[in-house]
Amino acid sequence: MVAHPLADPREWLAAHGDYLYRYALARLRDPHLAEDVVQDTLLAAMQGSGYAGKSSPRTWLTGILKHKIIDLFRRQQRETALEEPDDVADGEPGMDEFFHDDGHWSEPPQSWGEPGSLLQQDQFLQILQECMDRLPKKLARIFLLREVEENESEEICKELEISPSNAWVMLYRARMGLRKCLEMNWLGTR
Amino acid sequence: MLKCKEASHLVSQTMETKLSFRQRLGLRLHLMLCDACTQFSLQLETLRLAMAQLGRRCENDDSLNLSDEARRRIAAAMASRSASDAEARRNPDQNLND
Repeated sequence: MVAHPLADPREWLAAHGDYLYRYALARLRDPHLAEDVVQDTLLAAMQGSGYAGKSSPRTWLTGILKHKIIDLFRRQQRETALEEPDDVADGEPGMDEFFHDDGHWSEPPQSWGEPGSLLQQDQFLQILQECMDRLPKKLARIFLLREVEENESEEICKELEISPSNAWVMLYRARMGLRKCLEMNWLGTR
Repeated sequence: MLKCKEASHLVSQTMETKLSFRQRLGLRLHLMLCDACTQFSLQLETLRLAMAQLGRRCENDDSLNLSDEARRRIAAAMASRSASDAEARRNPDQNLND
């Protein structure tokens, strides 16, 4: 077998390290975890049959990175489950604090205006980041997997070993928490 | 008639799965009459777009790079891995005896 010219692992860190780091950072939102997962990825890439030249080295490495990120999420979700008892197992949406007893919104959602212009505003995205950081970790992780990694919730259930109703409830809670946080912190500043 | 509490859960669920006919009908009726839940539904769509944009921004941000310290650490880990692999190739018998 002829070695692929880019199959030299020493090239990978220089050529793709920063790319892999940004990719991981977008999903993990933690610089240290992102660095660790890039290291795991490059070490894993050195093992096994190596780079086969079927796709670009970057695509191949990104594929390994995706698996490493999911592994990390799965581990973290298990650890969080030990700290915070799981209250979504029954598929109950909860969120009672957002509604009156009669089922109406206690603070009805307001119009945010045109999404196109909203997404151009650095301040809106900045506050969204801050709201993500305030979300319970467990909800933030599944939400990132859904909305940034753009996994279907079916895949997420398999990857995180949870039921669909469990996943839907967590995504619902993440969305409820984020939109409320945005409304309080961003609408207030307009 | 659905309550806002139930309707809001269904709005989020439509982003994940296909609702039953009954659920779809109930939600559509509710949204026709309820401005708050209609706004909620629009907010979730905006939130989805905004999250995707946040991810893309981070992926394309040239100012976000591996720190020098992390780069050195990763390079050292890779060097030590390839050294131990080379060692294992030179002494295959040793591995068998481990």
